[in-house]
Amino acid sequence: MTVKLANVIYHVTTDQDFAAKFQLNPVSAITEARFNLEEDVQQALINVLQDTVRVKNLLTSLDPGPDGPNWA
Amino acid sequence: MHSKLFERLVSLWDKRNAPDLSKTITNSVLYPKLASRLANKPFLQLPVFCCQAAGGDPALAESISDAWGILYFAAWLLDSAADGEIPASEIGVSNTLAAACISSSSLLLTPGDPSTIQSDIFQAIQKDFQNVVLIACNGQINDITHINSSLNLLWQVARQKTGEFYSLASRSGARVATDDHKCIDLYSDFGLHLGMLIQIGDDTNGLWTNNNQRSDLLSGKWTLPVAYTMEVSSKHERELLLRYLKSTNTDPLAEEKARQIIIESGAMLYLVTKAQWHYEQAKSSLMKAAQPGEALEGLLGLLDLAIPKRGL
Repeated sequence: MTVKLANVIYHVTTDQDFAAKFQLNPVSAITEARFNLEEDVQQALINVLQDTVRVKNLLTSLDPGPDGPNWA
Repeated sequence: MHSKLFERLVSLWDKRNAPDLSKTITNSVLYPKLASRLANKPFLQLPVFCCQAAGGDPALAESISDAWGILYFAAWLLDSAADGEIPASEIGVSNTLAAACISSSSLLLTPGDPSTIQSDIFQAIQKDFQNVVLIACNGQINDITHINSSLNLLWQVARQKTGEFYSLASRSGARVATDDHKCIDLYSDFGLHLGMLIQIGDDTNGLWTNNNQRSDLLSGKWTLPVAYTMEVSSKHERELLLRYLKSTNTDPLAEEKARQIIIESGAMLYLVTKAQWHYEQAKSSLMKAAQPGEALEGLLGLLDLAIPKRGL
């Protein structure tokens, strides 16, 4: 699933048509796109994409996030 | 360095006629860094929490926590040396300490009270520790020897170096509490996914310089966000990224430009999605295995600590 998911994310990130559909309804955009991901992976993707503010931050913010170093 | 773990390590070295090892640590210029590594990290409780959550007396897993903590410290020393984070003058000391810690880990792995636990369980755990050290060394060699690794290979290395390591801690803790193999396997899965979450967090944090620790981009490390971008991007973007990565030490803007390409390719979104998946897998295994109570809450707390908060 590693490379398949990577390609899906790149598509989600760069495809303008998908972005337009996604803005209207994130879940149906992903379901209709038929990415052919495993069910649990698709669910994880939906869980992340539903937080549209976070998605925007992840794609645009060049600043360090809230995670500190050596937190593990 | 006043952690209990360090005190037990010093006591072990004194008993084994190797007191100069602890003197060497305290006199080393690495001391402050080493001290913070051994000081009360929440993840060092992993074997104890897993033992308790599996229905065992947490005291049974204390020596496992110590042994695993020392191994974690040795792995960090070796990793830091490989990444060029240890000054050249201290490499000899650092590598010797790592070897001493790996040996000490095995010596610490003994049942606290032989009457309450079968020694063959601890012998099996010792073998498991030795096997996982070999797997981690294999991952380290893959990490060092492969230049510009593929995304698939980097995930494999993450599993060998970190996932398997946390899996060992979890299943070893459960193993002294139960002989139910299905239950032990669930803890093993939980630890594996927790370890992968931690690796994802390290690699996402590494895109930035934090607390005087140079970013992975400046250090020339080939990490998951870089490998993702190289996997999915166009030829032009890949060439551009490589050019910036090669010039981070000569061009002051190169690091920022490289970071921008990586982020705009969706690398952070990808890693957060992978983290979300690992989080859900870990939680699912844990909820099937653990008994309700304080230890389960502790393990869920570790999971929440590990999941990257980036973008929130």
